[in-house]
Amino acid sequence: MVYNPESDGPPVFHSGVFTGDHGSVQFVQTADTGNQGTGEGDTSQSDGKSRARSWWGIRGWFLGDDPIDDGGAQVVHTADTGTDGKTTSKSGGSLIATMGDLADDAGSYVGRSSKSLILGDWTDEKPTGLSIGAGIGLGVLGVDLPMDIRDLSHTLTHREWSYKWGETLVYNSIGLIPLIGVLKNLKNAKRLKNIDDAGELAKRTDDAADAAGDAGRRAPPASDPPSQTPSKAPTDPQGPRGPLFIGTPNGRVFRIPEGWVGRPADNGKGIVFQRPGADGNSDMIRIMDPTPDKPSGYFHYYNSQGQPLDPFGKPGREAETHIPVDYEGLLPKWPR
Amino acid sequence: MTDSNLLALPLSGRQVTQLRFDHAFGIDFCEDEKLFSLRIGMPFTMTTGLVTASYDPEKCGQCGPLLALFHAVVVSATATRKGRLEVGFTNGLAICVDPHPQFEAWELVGSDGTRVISAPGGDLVTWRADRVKDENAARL
Repeated sequence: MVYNPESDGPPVFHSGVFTGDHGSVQFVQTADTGNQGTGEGDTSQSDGKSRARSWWGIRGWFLGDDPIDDGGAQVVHTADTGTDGKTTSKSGGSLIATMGDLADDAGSYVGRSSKSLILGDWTDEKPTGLSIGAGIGLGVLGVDLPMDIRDLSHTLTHREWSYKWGETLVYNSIGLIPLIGVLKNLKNAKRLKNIDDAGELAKRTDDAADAAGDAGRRAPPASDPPSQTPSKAPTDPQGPRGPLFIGTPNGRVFRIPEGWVGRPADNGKGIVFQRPGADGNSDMIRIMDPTPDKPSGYFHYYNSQGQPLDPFGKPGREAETHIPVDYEGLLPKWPR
Repeated sequence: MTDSNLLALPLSGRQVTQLRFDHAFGIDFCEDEKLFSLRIGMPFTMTTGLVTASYDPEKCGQCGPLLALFHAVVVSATATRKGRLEVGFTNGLAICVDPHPQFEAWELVGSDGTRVISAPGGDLVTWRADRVKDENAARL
């Protein structure tokens, strides 16, 4: 994940699926994020539980798939705790970027670029950075004559007797001149906002790819001798969903397997994610707050037998399985 | 909490039904389909009468006397806010685990969602049982 604390600011994260009173939304936060937590929740579930997912406030992205299958309706809830200790919440729409959204955006961008390049002025589609670049490239190669005739014919058949029309006529006429005609693309200079859109999309896609790559380096848990650790994780009535990406204040992002259920500690000093129906510590990830010895925090992850694993995926003693959040090595047995 | 500094763990009256040795020392309590598992990952002491001996879960060969805990019934089990665990048994045995400055000394997990952890540096992190009470009731 490309993350620059200086330019991006502190992320606001920590979310999951929480049990709470019907009609309330709970957000988990760490001490380093101050007294504000942001996430997406739903207060109208029939089982009385609130659901949330990671929210990167600075970028305005969600770092996971929508945990609420509400047919596409998206509501952002923000909970603020004032100095009086009271919590208020507000709702509103916001930019939502899930992995699926990014794919849709990418496909839409290419489609819009192609449409703009092929139809030129005969479409209302605004030019994009890609279509402008392709147009310049074709102009330099001297194979853009059909496109120039196309645009000029559109101008002549859509006479307006306005300054804008005259400007367009001049540009499209210049386009007929070999090589110099490349200057025709200057008419799109006023629409360069779409180039910014393309750059933003590329940045978002890169970040998503980084997150996916981080997850991709991890393999399923190993099989080890069974133990009899009791207790079971709560079952997610919503069924399996996409993976959840959980961030920490120092920028580390954890990929939580699809469908796993999260539960924060009573005092917010840790959060547990576990496969629905799992016993005891089996199939579990536990992320803990910073301690004097681990200023970035630490985490444990367990195999299907409830044994904590070291970074290499082998059951080990506490000192080996107690992994700092800022650990930068691979985790080949990370749950998937 | 029995007082401001002690957390009463829900083990009183429960019998040890299983002991486990891997990279930690595990004590399981199972009764009426309600299960608790205590996992001790750091050196601790067990007192027998007037004798107190230290045990390191990493050194299983020296942990033979711990087998005396099998089938013992808990009299009291408490944790301090600083992460110290004390468990007394009806047969006179008692184990004590101090918090570790760098690692988690012990952890208690229950089927009702209870989770108590002795965090590094002397702290206690808890997950209350009632948060998943309804889900467990439906499952059991």
